[in-house]
Amino acid sequence: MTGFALTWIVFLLVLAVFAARAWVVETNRGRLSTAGSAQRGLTVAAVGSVVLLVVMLTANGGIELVDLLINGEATVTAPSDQAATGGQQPGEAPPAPAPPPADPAN
Amino acid sequence: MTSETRRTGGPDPVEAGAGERTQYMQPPGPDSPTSAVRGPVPRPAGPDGPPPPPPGPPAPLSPLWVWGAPVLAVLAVLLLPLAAATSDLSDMGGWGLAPALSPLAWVALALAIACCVVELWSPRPRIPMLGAATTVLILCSTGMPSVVQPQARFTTAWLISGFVDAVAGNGVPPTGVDARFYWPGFFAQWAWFRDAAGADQLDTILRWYPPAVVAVWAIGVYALARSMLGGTRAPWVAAWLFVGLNWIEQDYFSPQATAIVLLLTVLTFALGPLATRRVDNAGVPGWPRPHRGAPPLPRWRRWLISALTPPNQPTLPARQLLLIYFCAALCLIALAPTHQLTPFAIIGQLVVLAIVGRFRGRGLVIVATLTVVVFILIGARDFWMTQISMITGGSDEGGAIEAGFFDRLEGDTGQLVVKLLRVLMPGLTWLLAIAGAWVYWKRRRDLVPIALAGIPMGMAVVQSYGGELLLRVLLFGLPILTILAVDALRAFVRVDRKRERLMAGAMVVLFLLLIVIRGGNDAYLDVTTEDVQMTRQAYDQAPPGATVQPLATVGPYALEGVGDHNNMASGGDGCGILASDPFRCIDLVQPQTLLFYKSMEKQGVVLNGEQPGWTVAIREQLIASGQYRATYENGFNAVLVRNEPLPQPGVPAPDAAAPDAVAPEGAAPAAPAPDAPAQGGTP
Repeated sequence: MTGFALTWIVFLLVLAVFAARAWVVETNRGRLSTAGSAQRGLTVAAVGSVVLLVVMLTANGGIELVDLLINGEATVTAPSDQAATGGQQPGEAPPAPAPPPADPAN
Repeated sequence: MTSETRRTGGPDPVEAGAGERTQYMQPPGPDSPTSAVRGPVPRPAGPDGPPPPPPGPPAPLSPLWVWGAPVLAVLAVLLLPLAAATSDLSDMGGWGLAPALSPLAWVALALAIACCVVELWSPRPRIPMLGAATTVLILCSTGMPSVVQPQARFTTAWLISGFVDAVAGNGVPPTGVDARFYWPGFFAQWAWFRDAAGADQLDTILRWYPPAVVAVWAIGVYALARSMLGGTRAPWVAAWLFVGLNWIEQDYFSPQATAIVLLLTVLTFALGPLATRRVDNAGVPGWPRPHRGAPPLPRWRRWLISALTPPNQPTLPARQLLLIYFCAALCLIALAPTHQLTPFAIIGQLVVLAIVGRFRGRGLVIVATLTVVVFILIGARDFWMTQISMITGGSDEGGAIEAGFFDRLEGDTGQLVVKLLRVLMPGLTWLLAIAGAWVYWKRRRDLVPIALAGIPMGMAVVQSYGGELLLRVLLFGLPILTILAVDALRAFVRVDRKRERLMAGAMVVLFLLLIVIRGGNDAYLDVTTEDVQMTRQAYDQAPPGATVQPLATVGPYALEGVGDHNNMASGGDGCGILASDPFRCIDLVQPQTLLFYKSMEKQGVVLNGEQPGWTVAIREQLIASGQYRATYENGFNAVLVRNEPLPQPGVPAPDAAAPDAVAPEGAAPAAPAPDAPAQGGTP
């Protein structure tokens, strides 16, 4: 659980770094110092945070998911509906019901 | 070129006099007197007479153009209540809603179309009036079922309302019930709205959701068309064509309907205020070669120039750009927990735009991708840990194409015709769009729009998703396809303006077909107020934890109780739908409460070739067997309750064949006798 929480925190860090870089890039647009040290530093920070997030994702589920996708099997521990979007859709034809039973009196 | 330098086409004017030649003027000193500067000297008249005077105020419009569209719009809206009152929906057949509609409904639709055409043909179309005409058109076409039917159609809309109800209980989605609960954003959103409003159901929202959300979609298509087509009339035509071609009906109360709003918002940002284009500032011809006479360059050089040329930049101020980035990122982040497929569609489209350098803010692609990956890996972990086969596909599952097309071609004549029309409409849409892509290419040397429309088709590889996948793929591409189609139609009409009348006639035919196609399944997708009240009453009377199942998966059977009453179609051994083998499945699942709707009866008759009265026969046999008793009967609607004590968790259920079996301690009291009076009449 700690790994998952840390992954979410790193994800928020990535968003914050991207926002800061966008702020620096756009507010310096049109000036002569468009590639200043702040922008370069934030670019490095953005790349680093993305790499860190990828590492966290790999360690917290990524390997398991890839393993499942390669093997194609998983232990079903929870019931599911019959399809990803179960229920009647417009134009969807459910299986044909059986014919009505004979009169009980017969 | 200013007015002073503009030439009139005649010979050079006579040379200015000595007094008008350029003179050096002494800069004024601090004590210099104020001097007036002489204004420009009027040019002498040329041999063709004086230059034309500046245009005066526009001539007043004819009253036909001023009042025509508003009067038509008001008449169309006034006819809607009359249409609702005079439409007989009690006996819809295989053709669905269209034959059951009152002639007044068709007149209202014709007036709405006339309103749009009149305002579009006006010499000076008014944007507010065009917006109002579009609203009326949506109300009279997409919204017609909402007008004439007292309750929302579609089982799935009610099912999702039940999901919202489940989340609203304690704020936590139930587990092990339905895969869609792993993407709970939409359910949580509406649960919050419901709680904040102090409401306990969303019936009115469900009813009016389709026209409302299509109106929002139409705004998005209009905004996209303004960026891609320009002009004052073509964007409105694009919005109308989108409404007319939207037979797909994914606009019911559902996560994908909201997801399309978010998708269109991001796409509008990317192709509007964030749009850029690779333009070579040095004047070197890029790729493709813009003019036929331009000297050809080696292909590798053209590609190199194109790839290395940085995109130009939007002219918006930095703060506006940042605000747009924020809103676009918010939409992309909101998409991840809302719907399964839509994030991949918009990411694919943004990747195409980023590769060809068409929008500024390519970091949005990274943000969207990371959001989806993080959510799936962490937030939806339980889903892929337990149901990976939904991603990889199972050996016994049919493909999306088979489920979306071949499996649906069944039913009576009306059903078959409607379904064939559903096949023809996407073909027509793509045909028009390809013609429009050719026109767009000739006009702007640009193939990106058709690529944007084709990107969602890549999702067809997820064959395990089911038959709805094709509908979603069509829907994701429909806005761009519609805009390209309008470009083709505009080029077609510009050849001869008389073709505009042909287009107006085609618009009438298109919207008539829209009503026919969208309402084609209403014989068994219609939900009545009685259905809703009966279902709520059944849940009120059902003991906690009792299984409540419908005979077939139509009707509002899951409008509440999801997660509490095992009311999802989840029976194994071929009994996901009890009607597939009713007596065996009912014995296997042993639902405590069994729901019958008129829509089930209609579905069997018009779609599956059953004899009229087949649900009544099943119901009567169940009652005659003593297994069930009726607590509600009215026509084809009925609620049957099982005549046995409730099973206790962990304790095997007593044998139904042993009437003298001792009920376990703590079991619910025995059900009343089978001959207890029913609340309604018999059919």
